[in-house]
Order: sequence, then C-alpha cells, then structure tokens
Amino acid sequence: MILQTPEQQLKKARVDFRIDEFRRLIKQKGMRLDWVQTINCPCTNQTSTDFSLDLTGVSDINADASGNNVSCPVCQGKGLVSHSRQEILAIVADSSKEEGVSKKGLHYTGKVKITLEPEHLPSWGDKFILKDSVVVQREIVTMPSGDTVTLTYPVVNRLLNLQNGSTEVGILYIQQSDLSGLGIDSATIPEHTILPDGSIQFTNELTKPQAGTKISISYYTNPVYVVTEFPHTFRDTFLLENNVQSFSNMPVQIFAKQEV
Amino acid sequence: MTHAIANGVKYYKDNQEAFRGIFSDVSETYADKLFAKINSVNVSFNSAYQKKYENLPLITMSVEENTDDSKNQVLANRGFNNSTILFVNQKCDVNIYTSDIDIMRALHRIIQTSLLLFKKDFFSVGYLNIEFVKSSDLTPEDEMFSSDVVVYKRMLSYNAQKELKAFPVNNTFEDLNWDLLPTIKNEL
Repeated sequence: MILQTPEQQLKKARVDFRIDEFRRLIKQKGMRLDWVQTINCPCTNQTSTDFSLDLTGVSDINADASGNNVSCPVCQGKGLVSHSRQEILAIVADSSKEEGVSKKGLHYTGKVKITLEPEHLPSWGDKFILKDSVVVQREIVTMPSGDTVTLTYPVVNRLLNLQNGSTEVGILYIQQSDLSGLGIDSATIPEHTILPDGSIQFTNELTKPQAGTKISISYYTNPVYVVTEFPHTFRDTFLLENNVQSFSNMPVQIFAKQEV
Repeated sequence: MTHAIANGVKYYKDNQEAFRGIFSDVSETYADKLFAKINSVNVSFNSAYQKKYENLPLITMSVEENTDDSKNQVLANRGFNNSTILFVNQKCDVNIYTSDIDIMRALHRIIQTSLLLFKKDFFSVGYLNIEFVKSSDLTPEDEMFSSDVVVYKRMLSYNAQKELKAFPVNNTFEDLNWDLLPTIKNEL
C-alpha cells in the first residue's frame, strides 16, 4: 500500500533553526575540550605460534576469531586506538557524579552532556578532556626513588580567589606514611612544584616523602569523559534562509561517562 | 586469600618457567607474551568495600560464612583438646577488574593455581578444605570506564571449611559436675 500524506503550505509560519547563531554561541560560551577519537585496531594473530592453541596435523590459520594480538605495538592487544586529538569548543551541561563503595572499593560514576558543532560528530569510546574544569581526584601511590611522582591523571593548577588574593592550587593535601605502613601525623604538605606534564616534584630534600612509602594525594585534575550514549543520533534538517532552502547538519549532543 | 593471591601473582611474575607451566595448554609464544604483559602492570589487591580508590588491574575479596552442612554441630560442644569448636563453611568471592582481556586471562589462571600452591598453608591455620566452585564469564563492568574504555570483570567463587576453636576460661568444662545431688533419692 502506498501511504501518501497531505500536501502542506511550506512557507507560512515556518520556524527555522539558526545554525550559525548556535555556532556563534558555542564559540562564545563553549568550554575548551580535547577531543580524542577512537578506532578499532585491525591487529590479529598472524602466525601459528601466536595462537593460544597450536593444533597438530594442520597448518593453523587465523579464523578471524583470535581477537587482537597481545604484542601489537599500537594497541597492546586492547583492541582500541586513539587518534586525531584536537582542541574544540563545546557546550558542557548536566555534569553529575555519584560516588559509593562496592566490591571494587570506592568508585564513582560521573556523567556529562556535551553539545558539539556538527563537524565534531563523535563515536563510541571517543574521549573528551575538559580543559577549563577540574575535579578533585584522590590517589594512593608508592613514592619512587628520586623526587618526582606521576599520578594516574596530571595535576592541574586551579586559580582560587582566596583572602590573600588569587592563588594557584594543584595539591589539596598529601598524607604520608612510614616504611612500616603507619600514617605520619603531620599537618604540613611537603614543598613541591607541579611540572608541565602534571607530575609532582618534591623540592625539599628534608620534607620529601621517603622512597618506598605510600603517600595519599588529593589533587585537581581535568576530568576525562568517554562517549557512551547518543540521545539524538542525528538531527539534520532543511533550513530556509533568504528564501533559499538548504540541507543543514544540526548540532550533535552526546552523553559521556567519566573515566576512572 | 588476599595474602595468598598477592603472593601467587608475585611468584608467577618472578618465575617465567612456573608461568609457562600453568599455561601449558597454550602455545609457548602466547604464554611468553602473557608473561611479558602481566609483568608490565602493577596489580592492586584489597578486600571488597574499602573506602579508597584502587588502580586497575584490581583484585578484591569478600567472604560470607554459613553453618556446616552436617546440621548437628552444637555451638558449645566440648570438641576435643578442651576446646569448643565451631565448623564454618566459608564462601569467598574473588573479583578481578581489568581493562585488558589478556591480563584477565593471566590473573584468572594465576588465582586458581595460587590457591593450589598455598593450600597447605591454609590447612595449617585451621582450614579443612578449599574448593574451587566456579568462575563467572567475562562481562563488562557497568558504569565503569577506564583509559582503555571498557573495564571487564570476572568473579571466582571458592568454598572452604574452617574450624574455629575457643579455649574455655580456667578449664571451666572440667569443673562441670554432672553427678546427681547425693541428697536426691533416685532409687526407683
């Protein structure tokens, strides 16, 4: 059955989205994000000795069922590759975070909604690193020999408006312990500086945590979000401008969850 | 369990021949690649429900206890050697979290064999038996995303029987007098 719907008056009381105005708003109000795209790695197990089971009596073939190659220099067998990192502007809204204790210990689920220009259409697994916003991250690490500690996420300085004026703060607190595993009762944070790569360099040999001890650090870092959901896979439309109708890609919106 | 598994991971990370031995069912090339990979990561260990963040790969443990299946143990029985004994059945869940399937495969096998390695040590502290029950299939951990995007989870379940002893204060059991009072005439 052919299902014809009625003809309509196309120009009367027509409402059109002003894509250029929206782009301008993103450029005005948008936050700076690093967008890291993700692609699957094509690596496979290619030789019979790479396979997890060497079959007798036949020359083993890869039946495309062997997954990724554990020694792939690009993905290390994890199957995903990051590429094309670039800084963009986007509207970031509805950020939220739930924290709680479960079998895996203390963990959080952070969510955010990001609206992007049409050209910045992301795919599952892409990452957005918010460069203008910070979250408080907590981590326990073992102090290495030397004076520098690298954490899971780079420490970033945040400009705080304090009583004594604007102050840059990257580390909120460091709790030290001794080699026997007991916490050291000290209210002072060891003197340190934040290096350009976000690691911490302790600058005073006398107050530096002892190598081999555990130190607990509370610090600011830029949150990283992984694209997980597409509430509107696409929202393309036809726009009428100066009496000319043209096809237009519309802004894109995605939901992303915070990396742990 | 945490102590045994952590030491098992260290043992196999330090001993390539032993590692090859527990992966005798795969090609040596693949086993060696797994060995290199497990040596490239620091595994975190802890009991479940701790109030701190842990880095991946992570192994956590939780334990529940039940009465012995025999249904006839008495909580205050006299047992042997002047102690009271409670037989308990323990169920231990060992949870593995990692974003890497190869690491998951290695850790799963290492946990199974570590408990074989150290079985006698469990017996020496009051365990009567340790039994591998099952392991769950590989599933993504919901709501958890890592730098490698997906985080996988597997859970191994173990049953164990353990003997808990309590030693009476001042041998009070020996003071128990089960004789009838001599003043009671119990003649028929």
